[in-house]
Amino acid sequence: MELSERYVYAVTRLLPKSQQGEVEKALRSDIQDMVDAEQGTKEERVRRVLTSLGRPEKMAMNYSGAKQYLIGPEWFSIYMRALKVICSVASLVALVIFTIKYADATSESIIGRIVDILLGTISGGIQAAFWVTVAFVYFEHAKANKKNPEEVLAWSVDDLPKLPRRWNQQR
Amino acid sequence: MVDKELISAQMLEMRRGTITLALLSQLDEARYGYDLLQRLESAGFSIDAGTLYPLLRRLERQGLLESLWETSGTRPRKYYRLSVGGKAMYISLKQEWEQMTHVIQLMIKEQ
Repeated sequence: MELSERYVYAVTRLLPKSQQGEVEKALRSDIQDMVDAEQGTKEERVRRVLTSLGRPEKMAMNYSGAKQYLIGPEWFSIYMRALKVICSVASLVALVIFTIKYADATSESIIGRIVDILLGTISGGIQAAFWVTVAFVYFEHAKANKKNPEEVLAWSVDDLPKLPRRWNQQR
Repeated sequence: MVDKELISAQMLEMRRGTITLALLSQLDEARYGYDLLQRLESAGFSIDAGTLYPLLRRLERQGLLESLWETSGTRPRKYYRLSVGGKAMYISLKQEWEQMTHVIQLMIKEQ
């Protein structure tokens, strides 16, 4: 019982407030129907059912119909082009700036200066990539900002969150 | 040789489009989630519970299904049924399906 309540909580907490109550009641009843149809001890049956339902984050996304990607297909090719252009320009600018900055630095060896210039150039490119990405993710999700979990991580029912005290079982 | 994963990904893609039609076809009468799961399963159209339950809810939000809580049984159950809009959607999807299978049958036989 506790496990399946944790599952219901794990799913509904990711949904918009307006949908939580309805999904909670329906999901609880659906899980019960499935558990009753299984064989074995109560614990075994519950675990089998919850495992078959899968990762709660994914379930919640199915409920809300939210986007499951950072940058979608419409934006992706534009994003890649912007990334190339802007990163090249930013790296070049960083290269020029750091070359000027370290050109007359007398305290360091030639190698030290070259390393500094290269590091500066690379970090300029990385920063540009970061901000371009942030901008595109914003465009993509400007309307509905939703959580985005890593689908690749293995998931088991043991990873379910503990129920908070305010969670009312018979709501 | 095409690898197996690619084949199953393509199969999944093909099935995905038919799920709504399969589901709507069973909702002329009001039914609840687990009942639908079993009906589809026994008809030979297996679907994950993790896909079915959220889909019912989404179709309801889109106005294609109406729902009703039945509280007289052992536990409260949510029953779904086609709304007027859902019936129209079902008819459209069914026609599309018939048209598509017809065309594809012709193409497959040509070879």
